[in-house]
Amino acid sequence: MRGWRRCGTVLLAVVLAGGARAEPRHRIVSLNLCTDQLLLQLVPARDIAGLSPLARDCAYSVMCLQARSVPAIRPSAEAVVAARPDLVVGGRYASVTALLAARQAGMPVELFDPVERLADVPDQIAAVANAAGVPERGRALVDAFRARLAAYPVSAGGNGAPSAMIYAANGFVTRAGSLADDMLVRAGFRNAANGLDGRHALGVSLESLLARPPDLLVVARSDVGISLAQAVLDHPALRDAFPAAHRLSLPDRLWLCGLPQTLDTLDKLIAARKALETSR
Amino acid sequence: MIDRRDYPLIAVLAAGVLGMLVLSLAWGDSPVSLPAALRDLMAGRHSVGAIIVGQLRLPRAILGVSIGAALGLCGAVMQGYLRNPLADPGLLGVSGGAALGAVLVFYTGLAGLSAVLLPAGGLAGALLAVLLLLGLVGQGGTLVLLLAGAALSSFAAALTAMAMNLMPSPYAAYEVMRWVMGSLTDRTMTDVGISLPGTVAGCLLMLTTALALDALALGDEVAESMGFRLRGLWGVQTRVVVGAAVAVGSCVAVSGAIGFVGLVVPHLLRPLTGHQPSRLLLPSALGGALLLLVADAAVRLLSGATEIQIGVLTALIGAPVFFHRVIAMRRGQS
Repeated sequence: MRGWRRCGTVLLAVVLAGGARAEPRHRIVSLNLCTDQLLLQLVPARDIAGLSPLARDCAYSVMCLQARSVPAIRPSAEAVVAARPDLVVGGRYASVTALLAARQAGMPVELFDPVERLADVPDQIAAVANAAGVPERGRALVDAFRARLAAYPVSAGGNGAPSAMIYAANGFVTRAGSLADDMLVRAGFRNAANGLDGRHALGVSLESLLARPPDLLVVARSDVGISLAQAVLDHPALRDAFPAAHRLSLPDRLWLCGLPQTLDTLDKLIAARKALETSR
Repeated sequence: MIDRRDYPLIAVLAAGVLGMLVLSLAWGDSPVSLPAALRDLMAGRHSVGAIIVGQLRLPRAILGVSIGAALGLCGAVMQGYLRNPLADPGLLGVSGGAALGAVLVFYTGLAGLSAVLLPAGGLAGALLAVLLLLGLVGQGGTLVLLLAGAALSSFAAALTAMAMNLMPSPYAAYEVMRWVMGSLTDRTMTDVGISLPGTVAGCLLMLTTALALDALALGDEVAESMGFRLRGLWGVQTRVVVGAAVAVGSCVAVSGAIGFVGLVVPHLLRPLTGHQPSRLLLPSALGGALLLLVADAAVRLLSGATEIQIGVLTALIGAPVFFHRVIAMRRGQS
């Protein structure tokens, strides 16, 4: 019975992936940073006709070096259609016109939602693998991911857990319903941003942050250029209020997408929690 | 320079500045006991209160006083020197030029090389703007001055916006407002150290022209015959131009271009001090500090989810004064 259900899921995925053909595609274009990075791990470089330029940027992509060995493509309708892809993958929210144009030109187009929970990462890997016609490679990555995820102890969570807050440029914090929030919980933290009132909907001022400091401040920074927004993350008040064990600096690229590498970031969060507990 | 008749005014303004200073240390997003925080600060304890008061509110308050005073003084000196009640570093493009210079230094990473470079960039931009302004205006009247100022300030704002759109950081383009309208949020003691020396030096230089400004009110020839040298290396013009550029450049480098302070403060205080430029200088500096502290308090009161730039508030106070001047000028002409 269970076997049948799994079979059904795979069949459904294949159908969703645009046809019953499971043969590998050879001219794949990806317009989304997350599908870019998944494709690099799923298909040989020669089968990729173009990735979004962000994939080459080491500030946002953990696969930036590998991405430089395949062509980058501007996410414009013209560039995508001219590349004559046999598959276009993208996110649901960006490069909408380019994706629409590709669909109108009769090219198979697959859209993927951003992953919001660690448990959804395997499904996304499998879906991208099926779309690209390499389900076996996808299954290998999925099995490895599931095995690694299952090895983590299930954290107690709840009110006894230490609190953590992800603090980014402009005082932006990350709340429930995001991959980063799920990772905090999985690492044994309580996300302090979820307890904030609506006044801080857009950003938490330094003063409010210092007045109710979380046990761990996760500073999320992008290392591109210089801005006042980024400079706030280096404010001396933050340095004084959050000494070493209470502060973890994680670059943006480590949790923008749900990837096999996301578990490395989870390892860092768990290590930070252990350091926090020993420092007490 | 300080007239006995102005003592009460100066005392009231100084008391106002002091009161607002204490208020801006005591009051903010989160309730903090000021005496306890100050005790922790003195004892060097890193308590939450000490960090909030010492590292967030104190730099903001100091910058409010120093920048407000510099802008108020600058307005009074420029109005005296140009013999025009509409002169103001913001309106005439000096602040805009300074913002452009500071932006170019900050976002390219040059500011990270040396702390001197950020105010130096602001100073270079301000100096360039003043020189351009003087060159454009020459012997022209009020209308030419305002036209040249409008052209300079919009040109500088456009270049600032363009420079920031071309910068690599994804946040840079969203920070145009902070530089064009000005902001005191999240400044550090480092910013105070960057801005204060130039601000003080520029203000002192401008203050040395006080008596010359009185003489200038009677005309260039009269001033020259009274022994004030107008041109030359230590001439009045050089001291006004360099003093204003150094002070405004150092201020704008950390706060962005906050407008209208230099316009509105001398205008409001002139009826109280009489029409003698030198008597207006110190009250204008104190009045500028008071205005900026009040505006900053209002920013903190009004800002909920999004922040309002402090320049928006000074413009809200200043623009009606500007309207009033324009109407008064038209009546005078007809």
